[in-house]
Amino acid sequence: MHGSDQLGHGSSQAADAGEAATAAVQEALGGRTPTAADLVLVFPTIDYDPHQFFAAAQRAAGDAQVVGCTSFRSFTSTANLQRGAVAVHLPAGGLSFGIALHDEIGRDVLGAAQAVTATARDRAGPDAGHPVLLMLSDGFAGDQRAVVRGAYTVAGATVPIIGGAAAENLSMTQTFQYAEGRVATNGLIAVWINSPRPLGIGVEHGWHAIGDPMIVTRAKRNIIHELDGRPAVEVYLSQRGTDLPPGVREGLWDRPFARAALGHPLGLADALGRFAGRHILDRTPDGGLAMFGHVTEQSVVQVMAGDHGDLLDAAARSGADAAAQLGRPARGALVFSCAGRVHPLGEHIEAEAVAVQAGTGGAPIAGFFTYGEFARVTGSTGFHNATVVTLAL
Amino acid sequence: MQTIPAAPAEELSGELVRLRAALVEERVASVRALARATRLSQLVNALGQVVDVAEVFDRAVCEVAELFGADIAAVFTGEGRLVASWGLGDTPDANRTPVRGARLPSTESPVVAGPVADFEVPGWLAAYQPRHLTCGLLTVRDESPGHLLLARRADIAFDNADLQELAAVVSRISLAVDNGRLHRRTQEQLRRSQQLHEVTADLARIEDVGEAAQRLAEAVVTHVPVTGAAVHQGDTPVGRAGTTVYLDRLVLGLGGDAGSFGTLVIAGAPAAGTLGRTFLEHLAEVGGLALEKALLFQRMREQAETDALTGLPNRSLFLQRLTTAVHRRRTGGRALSVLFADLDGFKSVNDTHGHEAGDLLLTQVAGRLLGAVGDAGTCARLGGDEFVVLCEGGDAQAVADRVREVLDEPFVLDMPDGPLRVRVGGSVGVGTAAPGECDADVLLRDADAAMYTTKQARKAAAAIV
Repeated sequence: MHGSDQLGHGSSQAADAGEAATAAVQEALGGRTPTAADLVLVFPTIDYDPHQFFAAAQRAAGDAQVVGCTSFRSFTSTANLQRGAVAVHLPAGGLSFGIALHDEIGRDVLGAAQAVTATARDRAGPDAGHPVLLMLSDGFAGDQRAVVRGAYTVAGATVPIIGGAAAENLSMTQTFQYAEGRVATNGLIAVWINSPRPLGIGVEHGWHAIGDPMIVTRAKRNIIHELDGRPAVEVYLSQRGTDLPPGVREGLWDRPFARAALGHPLGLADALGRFAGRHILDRTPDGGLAMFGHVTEQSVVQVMAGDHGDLLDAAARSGADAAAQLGRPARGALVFSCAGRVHPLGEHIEAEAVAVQAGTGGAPIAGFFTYGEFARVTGSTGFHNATVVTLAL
Repeated sequence: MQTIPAAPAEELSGELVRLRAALVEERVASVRALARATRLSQLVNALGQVVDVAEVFDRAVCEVAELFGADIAAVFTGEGRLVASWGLGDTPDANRTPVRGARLPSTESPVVAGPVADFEVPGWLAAYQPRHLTCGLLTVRDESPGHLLLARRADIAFDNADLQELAAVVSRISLAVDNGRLHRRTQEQLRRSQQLHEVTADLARIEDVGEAAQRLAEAVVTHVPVTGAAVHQGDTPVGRAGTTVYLDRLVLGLGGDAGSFGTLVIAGAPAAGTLGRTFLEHLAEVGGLALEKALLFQRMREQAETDALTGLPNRSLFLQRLTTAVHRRRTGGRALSVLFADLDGFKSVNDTHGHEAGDLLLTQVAGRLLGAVGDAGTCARLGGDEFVVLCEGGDAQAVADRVREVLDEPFVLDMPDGPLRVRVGGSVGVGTAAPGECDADVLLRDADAAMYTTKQARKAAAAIV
């Protein structure tokens, strides 16, 4: 039995979509009867029929509003699932939630983000002083920066933006989103949260730069064709240096979302010397790097590295930073972690959620591994790869 | 052999940590410097994709905010009007006034920055809780179209490197604004050129003066635009469009240097020196040429259809009108008759007093014909001393009688050596088209034959007398 306002989470590895959704949501409710003001979030892996899964989740959630999306993996403080489903019950507890879904984003990501943000804000009711905007997008929707930009033009600088891009099992086919009782495959969800108290956001990645900084001299959309005027793959591999043992280098690009490159994403440098991670998805026939996310020409990038210790330390900092902003004990936290962290963490994967929870001071946490994270607190950029984003409530 | 005393292990370890930290700091500094150095290039790339001034501002606020880690970016005009913003959300607020205070950018210091306390921050901006501000003056050709404001909510000051780069950024934005204005002007000129081409092509195909004048007036009102336009041929209005109230008249000559055709009178003309005024003047020039051409064409057409000596329609025009009348008659039109008149004594006048007297006589005959026929028909000269009258409806025989009477009256010719009185007389025959079937050639031949019969009868009668 969860505390009355405590975030509740549940999980299931049942093979049947309906069973998995029902079991996960019921565990998250922990015997509580949700009200229409409550929010239930569900994060299944791609293995379920989305219509059956989300319909069952909605039934199990009773009167509560339900949103969710597919994941690469999902996790709670106590479960970390390669195949299965996670559910989160967020009792209103003074919060109000406004939800909007845009079914087909198409190419107008910015316009869709503006539309769902404005609608969700209207539905959330009166401003209670500390709003936060949660976005869940299709991970294959093109330039995810436009999600943040579109939301930002509507919400403005005083509203933090967090969330994640829906994922799947690296088959690179489609993801699913669910809100307003509908399933979308190229959708964008906005959840506007009006809160009378500050909510906390933590953003950390744990990677550090190696090698030399490089300038993106030719890029289009998510393809970096040239770094420092040379084919991007060639430059990337030269920067990797000796950490690619014989046998690994040859098989580096055998599969999409190249495994050996996961541990060494590129970092986009900003003017303050900080890096925003961008994972490498594949190489192109002309020697370019296909990135997980769009990269602008003339950006400065550097190859990143980090061991599991670095990544886990960052996860703990993400949780701690978020919780520290509350000025009170957290009643729970939502976590969005990059799918690209799973391989580098390896056998330590379950420790990441534990680290976040420890950072929050032991609050119940739940979340999923994404195809990109949203986190804008200050400044006006906020699309990330390779990070752990925590929303402490 | 001198030996170096070994440092304690913990001392070496501490030194290693310090060196590593210094190395990391150095790398961060170099990356930061490189990232900053490329900011301007990124902005140039972004601004290079837009040309419209409003788009330049919209794109600039987004890009500059992201590149400089600012939460808010805004562009204000020189008059203090907000024209583009980033980070303010979508809540409209008409009272977003610029930051004020002593620390504002000027031509001497185009970029200023400082903590928020250094500025007089208006209430709308204070609501976003900014901690650090910077302002950059936009300058285009010695004029300032406004300034760019950036605000950071985090406690991270804009440093000197930021200011240096921001100076370059506002300069680049200013250049984009200038390019945008030039582009807009060029586009406007191209559009005007295209319009002028279309109006010219339209006017050039018109052969009627009245139609050309009307189209010119309409084109002026449609394309310049003005509130009213009137085309005058000499003092006569021949085309008009738009208002008839002319409180502020502009008069432009049409045709030739001195307005040989007439004038274009404009109400509500654009101010001198504007693109609209230049376009109007081009239109007047083109319109004048078109009107002169139409006028020339009208005169040529008149010459081709008019008997040069008498001013009456000639054979060609008469046959055209006869053919048209025959067609009307066949389709149920009014009664149709042709009067054929031939002077009885013309050859004698010509032979006795010369061609000059003959010409004077023919001219007077034409005048008398017009007077006798009036509205009852169309007079024409076929050639020599042969005249015809086309009568539709009415009493053709009565017309023929009047014609005969006026021709039988004596003529006084104003010859160089004094007035010459002559009496020539005329024979008139009438051909009338039967209802239904009729033919122009047959009708003319019938009238000719009737005239011949009459002439023979008049000769016989004269012989008896």
